Amino acid sequence: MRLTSLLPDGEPNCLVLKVRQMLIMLDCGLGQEQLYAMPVREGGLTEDNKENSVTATTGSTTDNITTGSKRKHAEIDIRQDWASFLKASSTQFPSKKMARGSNGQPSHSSKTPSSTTGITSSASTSAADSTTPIANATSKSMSTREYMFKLPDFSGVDLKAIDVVVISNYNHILALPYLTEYTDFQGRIFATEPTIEFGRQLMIEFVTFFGTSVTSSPHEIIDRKELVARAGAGLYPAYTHADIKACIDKIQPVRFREHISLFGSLKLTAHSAGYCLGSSNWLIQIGTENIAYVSSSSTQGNLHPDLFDGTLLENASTVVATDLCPRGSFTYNTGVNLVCQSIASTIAKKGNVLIPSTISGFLFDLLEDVHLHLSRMGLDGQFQYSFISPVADTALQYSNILAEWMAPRKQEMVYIPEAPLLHGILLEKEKGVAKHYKSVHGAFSSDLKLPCIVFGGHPSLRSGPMVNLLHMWGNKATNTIVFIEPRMDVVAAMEPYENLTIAQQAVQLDIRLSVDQLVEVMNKYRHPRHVLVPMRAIASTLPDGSVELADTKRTTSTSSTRWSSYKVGESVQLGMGSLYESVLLSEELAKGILPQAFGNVSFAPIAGSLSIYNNQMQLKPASVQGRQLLSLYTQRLLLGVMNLPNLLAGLTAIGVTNMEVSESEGKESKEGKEVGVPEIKVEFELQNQAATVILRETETIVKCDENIRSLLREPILKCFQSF
Amino acid sequence: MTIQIVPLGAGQDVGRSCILVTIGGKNIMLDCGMHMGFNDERRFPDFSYISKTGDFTEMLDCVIISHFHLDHCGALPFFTEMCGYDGNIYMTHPTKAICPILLEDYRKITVDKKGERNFFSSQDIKNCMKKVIAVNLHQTIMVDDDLEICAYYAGHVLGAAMFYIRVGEESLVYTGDYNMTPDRHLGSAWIDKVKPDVLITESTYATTIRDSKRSRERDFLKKVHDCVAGGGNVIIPVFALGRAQELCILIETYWERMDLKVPIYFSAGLTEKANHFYRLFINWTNEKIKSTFVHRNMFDFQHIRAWDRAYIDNPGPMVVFATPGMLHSGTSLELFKKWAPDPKNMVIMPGFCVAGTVGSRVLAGEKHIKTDSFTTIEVNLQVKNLSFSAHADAKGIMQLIRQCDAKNVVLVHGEKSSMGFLKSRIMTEFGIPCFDPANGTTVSIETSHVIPIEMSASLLKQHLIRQTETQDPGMTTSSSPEHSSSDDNSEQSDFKTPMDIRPSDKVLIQGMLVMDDGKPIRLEDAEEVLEKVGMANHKVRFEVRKAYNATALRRAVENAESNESQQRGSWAMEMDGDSGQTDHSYQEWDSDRFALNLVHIALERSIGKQIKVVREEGDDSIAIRSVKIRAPTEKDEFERGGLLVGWDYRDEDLATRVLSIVTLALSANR
Repeated sequence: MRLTSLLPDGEPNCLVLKVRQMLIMLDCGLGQEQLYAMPVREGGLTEDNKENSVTATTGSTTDNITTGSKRKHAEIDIRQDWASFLKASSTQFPSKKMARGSNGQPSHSSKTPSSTTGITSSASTSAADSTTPIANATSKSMSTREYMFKLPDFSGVDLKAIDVVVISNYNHILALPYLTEYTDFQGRIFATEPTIEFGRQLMIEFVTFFGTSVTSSPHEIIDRKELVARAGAGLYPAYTHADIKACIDKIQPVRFREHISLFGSLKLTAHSAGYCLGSSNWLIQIGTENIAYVSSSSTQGNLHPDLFDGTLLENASTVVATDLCPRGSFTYNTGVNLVCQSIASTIAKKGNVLIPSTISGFLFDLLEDVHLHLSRMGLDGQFQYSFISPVADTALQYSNILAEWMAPRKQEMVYIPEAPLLHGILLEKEKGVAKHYKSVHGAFSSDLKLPCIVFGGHPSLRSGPMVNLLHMWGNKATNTIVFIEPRMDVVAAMEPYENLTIAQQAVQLDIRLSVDQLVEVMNKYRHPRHVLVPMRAIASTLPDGSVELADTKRTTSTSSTRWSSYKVGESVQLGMGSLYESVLLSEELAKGILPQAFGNVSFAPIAGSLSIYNNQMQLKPASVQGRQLLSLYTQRLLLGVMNLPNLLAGLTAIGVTNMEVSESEGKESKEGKEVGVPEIKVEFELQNQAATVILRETETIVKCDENIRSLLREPILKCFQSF
Repeated sequence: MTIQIVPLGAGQDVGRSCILVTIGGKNIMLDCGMHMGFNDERRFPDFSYISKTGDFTEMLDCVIISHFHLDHCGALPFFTEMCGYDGNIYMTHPTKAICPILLEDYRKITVDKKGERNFFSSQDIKNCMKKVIAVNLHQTIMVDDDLEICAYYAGHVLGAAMFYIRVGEESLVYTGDYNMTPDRHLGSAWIDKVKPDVLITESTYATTIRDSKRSRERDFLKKVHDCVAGGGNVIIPVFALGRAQELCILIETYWERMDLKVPIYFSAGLTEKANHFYRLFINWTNEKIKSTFVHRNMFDFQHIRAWDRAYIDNPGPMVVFATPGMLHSGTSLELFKKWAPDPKNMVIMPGFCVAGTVGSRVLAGEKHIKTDSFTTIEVNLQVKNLSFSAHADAKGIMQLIRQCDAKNVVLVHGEKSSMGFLKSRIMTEFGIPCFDPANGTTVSIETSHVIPIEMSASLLKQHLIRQTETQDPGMTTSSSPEHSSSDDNSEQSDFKTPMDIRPSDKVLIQGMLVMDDGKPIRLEDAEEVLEKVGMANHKVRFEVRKAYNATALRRAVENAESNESQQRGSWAMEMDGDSGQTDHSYQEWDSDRFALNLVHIALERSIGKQIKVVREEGDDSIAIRSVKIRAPTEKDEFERGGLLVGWDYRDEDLATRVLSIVTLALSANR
């Protein structure tokens, strides 16, 4: 078994696992760290306006005309932009990335000392931006330029050879369209239904925020594949809506505990991870080997997703644990009050609250807690919730029809029947309390009722509605921006907004398993032989390659369980022990076996014909021809030690008389081969035929005439246990 | 092993579905329905069959409910609360949500309106539902260590499921009611190729093969439109949930398209609630509704309004969806009574009606229907029967049998006469046994029992290599190695038939089964296993003298050769030079070498293709693995006039075979 991580620790998951002949990709996330190196895109949401006018039937005719002309304008714009981009992308962006990559990388793990260098580097690049002749001074053109992304390190992987991709939750899916649409990957992809849907939404958000601003079939304008080929330095532009659709169509939806059988020998089962709707851990069974892939998981019991299902650890011999919560994070329970208080105090001061977040995951729980808190504070009806995202509508509605994927407490709601998540009720019944918008343009500003609590993306604050809202409200100290997303780097995100006076509150709620929780969960079940953890989960590496964990007890490898670590760019090899295939033994054949006991274990020789049909192996009695053939290959075994009295008794029993027993102490034969082999020679006559039995320590030689051999065989075999 | 199936209800009948199954020592109850045609104790299945003493919890391992129709779940509160069953009950999420509503509805009609006693109460329904474990589609549920169940989409109504049940290597599929053609709000039934030993399928429409869905819809809409255009009222008896939603969608879109203003009412107070269920369980509807629900929820109807009893005297025309669907009680019966005498009006019976209900008598064409001892309804209105029910037709049933690749089929939930027809069709088309048991009769189906074991991958590999090395196509299926002479063989090697090239799907395996308590049975390489045990492996070598009569042998061979020499050259002579020198005198003649040659040829012919026969040591010996045949030398203590055959006991079976060939080759009677 070999495990390779394609993204650094702390980023979303993307790992490649090779077990026997199978190549399995565990998740396909896109590195998020790189976003902080990118310039802020302001406005540039013409596309959202357009979508609004197309979908919203209420849009007036004049509106349509203006957006229509806008679109035309945008198309012309983009052609120029593409041309400039092609020049710009090859020169400017890679160098920018390099600058970020060299000092930005370590800056994440240890924030304080190197963050200053991060800022200076980005400051210098932004300075470079303004001086570049291609870039106009207006922010409009900035927004239409292409962002370029670094993919997981696919270089060392034969993508064509990947058999299966499993996705654990929507956080780890963003690079999938690159894999399916831009490479020769042809394997199968599995994910739970909610993962597919929320993954699709996240992709749409990604494309809307970071893609080119013209989405109406860019394939017609520019061949993206060619663009990708020319991109160089491993940088890719964002994919398109068409790519998302094509990619999503390739994913096969599964449900928890649905057994998927592939190629006869590979079995996949998704188990609930308790992290978000449809979040799954995967049990990978190859032959009789069980590997548990534990991705983002949560044992937090009071959230809306279905509870963590640890049964996949029951029979796992190897566990691959990823996406653990870093030490010192807020747990949901410790952090939620801070978030509520912060929001309540802002609202009480008539300030607005910005919560950069995707509309998924524990946000749904947070919303319930916040709403309850605000009601208790008597702030009911004095504020408005706004969800701004190109997928806000879908995300909010879709989450509420997933009762089967929720915790039992939430499941009960649909039997009433009632929407299981609070926002369903807020949106339906208490009109005006909560609203959703595709973007900050259009209806949002006209509906706006202050104070307002806004949820929306993108958490990196490089694009999306939060950018506009920060400009609108960022310079008022009564407003607050609350960071709740656990994976983000608040310092890096706020870099471009240093001068704003908006209050900041970072309460990054992390519901993922901590190292302590992982050890705890693991202890509940049979101990696996190997546990692989990411680098940040370990305190130190021991000389033998095993590790000391960074938990409170400093867990290290024991005789039964070996802990080791993996990191990006290095593959971990693990021995798998002897391998077994599952076979069905037919009743007919089983009836004929004769087991012999050796202590607790019994053995039975068996011979038959193994039929491989529909990927199932069944051992049945062989045909007549088969049996004849088998007899040619049969290997018989004798166990035990020859002893003379038994032999003599046996010979007497078949009527042998006057036996001559002679003993020699390893006399030297003529060839000099049998030096020092002591032997006993028994000579006798049976049916007037001379016969000799020579006994040595590990062998017995019988010399006789052919016609008495069958008689002699019995007494000799009786001395042994034979198979 | 045997799988036993006893229908307590729905055997050669429709209504009170309840089938007992014994599989791998587990007892399972499939559905627990009631019969709508009866008002006495016959309405519930005869549970005393399971246990006379009432210890149902011990007798049954679980109860599975396929969908929320009362003929599938109606007796459940009776069974759990009044008979005392306290074990596991499984159903899908929507079934769990909707089933109590229908039960409550039915209870109200029976108890409150008819004043019956000895019927379950509202509290009973609530308590019963608390015991239910909801399952998701495709999710494998382990009921206990051996019994596993898995639900598949059945498409009949919201949340309808087929259940795959497995104990060890025995398996069964119960379809409940299902529909193989997608309709306006539900998808079609689908199941994996699970190869069940038994498929228990409904057969409501065993003899019908319905015309296309589209024309049926057009037909339905035209009838409704014609009637309201003529000023008549249309009553459509439906159940509150299920098909009603499909018809509503249909009429709603038609009304919108044709811009009709005739009011449409939906009688049951359930409508709003029912539609809310559909909204929350949108995942269980079809893809189209799922993909558009964010923008427009199909279950928010614009033209359909709630029914009020006061409207009954409104001047027509109007269209009313009224519950229940079989006209046996409630609003639909009330409206029917009111409108039946007027020939302008119309009743559209969309579903199937249980025998004994008013609905079935209307369908039968009765003109005077006595509902109770005081009332007789004059039936003058137009009666249209629309086979609109979401059941699989004969084609669909056959399709499902093919899809899951069943080994046996049991038909339930259908009329006896039509079952017979389907039964014979299944048996001829698939060549598999098919049963249609009556209520209370047992069907026993023998299954082949297999034992799961684990086979060492290296052992398999080793055998696969051996098989390819020996390059014998005979092991596959077609040609037998025994029949191919050397001539045939040369032909075969020149022209390989596709059959020979095909990779073999059978491998001959030899090994040692290791049975250790508590661990899975494993198949390993015999020697490796015994080595691990640490028992000394003892070698026994046999060396025997095979005597023969040299002179007689030579004569016999020469005779045989002269007989054949006209037809063809002796290949035996061509092959070795020694036997060609027949002019030599008998004294100088090396009889042992001659015999060895004969033996060699015989061995090559008989087993040479399967195993390597080696001539070695200056032609003085033949070796086949450890079996060695040689001419005796000076130092051997045996007398001359015989060949020496030696082997290790390991190759005992091979040696026995070789010896018999040698005996044959050296016998003088040729």
